Amino acid sequence: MKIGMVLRDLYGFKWFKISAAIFLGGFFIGYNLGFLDFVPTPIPFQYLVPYLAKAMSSAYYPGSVPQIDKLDYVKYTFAEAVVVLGGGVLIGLVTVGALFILGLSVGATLPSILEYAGAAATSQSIIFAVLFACAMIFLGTSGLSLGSSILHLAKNTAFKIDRRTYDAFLLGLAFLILSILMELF
Amino acid sequence: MKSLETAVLLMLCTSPAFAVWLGESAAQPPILVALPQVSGSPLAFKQISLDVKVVNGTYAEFEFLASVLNTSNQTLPYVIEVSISTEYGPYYIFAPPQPTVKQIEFGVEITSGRLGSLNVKADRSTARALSSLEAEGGDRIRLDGWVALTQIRYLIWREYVEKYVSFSFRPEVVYEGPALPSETDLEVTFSYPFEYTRTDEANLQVEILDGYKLVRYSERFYGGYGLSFNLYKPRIPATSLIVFLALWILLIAVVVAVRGRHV
Repeated sequence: MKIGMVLRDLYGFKWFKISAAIFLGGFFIGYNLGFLDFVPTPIPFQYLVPYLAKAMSSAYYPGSVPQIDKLDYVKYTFAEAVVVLGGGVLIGLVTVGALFILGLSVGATLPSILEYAGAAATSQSIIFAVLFACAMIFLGTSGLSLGSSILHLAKNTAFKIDRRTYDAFLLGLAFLILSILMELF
Repeated sequence: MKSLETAVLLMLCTSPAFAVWLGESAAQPPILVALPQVSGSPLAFKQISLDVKVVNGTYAEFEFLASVLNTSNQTLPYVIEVSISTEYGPYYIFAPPQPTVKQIEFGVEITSGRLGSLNVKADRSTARALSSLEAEGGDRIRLDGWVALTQIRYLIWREYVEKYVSFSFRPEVVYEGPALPSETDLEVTFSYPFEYTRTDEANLQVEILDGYKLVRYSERFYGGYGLSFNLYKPRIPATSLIVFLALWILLIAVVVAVRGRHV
């Protein structure tokens, strides 16, 4: 019941909408580029999310052994969460960039996974992508709200932070843990 | 100033140039430069042709016919070699390694008009046979083979077949191929399924026979020839297309709904 209220509050929070719009916008562009075969670009966005990149590569070469270990998945995911959240201190600019690029990365990997990977790998990748997207959107909400508070502090003398910033952070953290657990098992 | 002069003097004394000047150095033996020997290959060709048929996206057959001549006045042992390209993987940071154990991807039988079937030794990517030509003699060589084709680039909208087969004739001792009197003596006939496109198809005249495209062209041959299978065909995506459509329908629905609110 309380979580429902928190979610309803967050839904009305403008930074949540902005964060979701940036991530999903990046995802939309990434998916379209991947679907239209523009993924093999010199900038390998897809490898920012190694869990999905591994599923994508394994789909091409079934039966091969992945070179990356699970600790790397955790390191990457955690580092990205830190950038999205901590980027808020630079008045949210880093958060905005990181959210967009991560959305793009997730979107770019999905078409080939859907097309070539097996049912198990596809379902795991989709679940992970959803959890990861939720984590990044909530942490991005928190980061952007933090950035606006810092901007507010620069204009005024008081540092005000919205209660929903904490809620977004806690929810983001929960989704982050779930996505890391998904990567590990 | 005096110390500088001393330093320069010391440097001169220790320099090898000083020793040469004093005539103490040993006389350097003269370096003899061997003049390159101009020698043409004793192997020559009269007539060569290559007939390739790509049966489907995974299998192709080829037939290579060559009339070879020994232009020297002594018996000439020579090597006939067929090699295929081994697959390469695009370099991605997290790309899994290629499986090391692979199935045999090609086979070849080499027949000499004079000696009959030749003994072919093959490894994973090369098949080799030895033969010989008597002084100023000739022979007719026939290579019948097949090669497995694989899709190495996975795109959503295209299936690519990329393979490379090379043919080589050379004297056993001297690694030097025969020279042809003309550069366009290798006549290639290449046929492939209708649904495929050769990457250089626009430059060739294409005939269509029984569901296969047929192209004929001449190539240069200097004792070796590399045949590229660069084919692709369009593919229609399945699952990713559904998600793609869903995303666009969602986007259009959101736009229409939001636009409706502003009326």
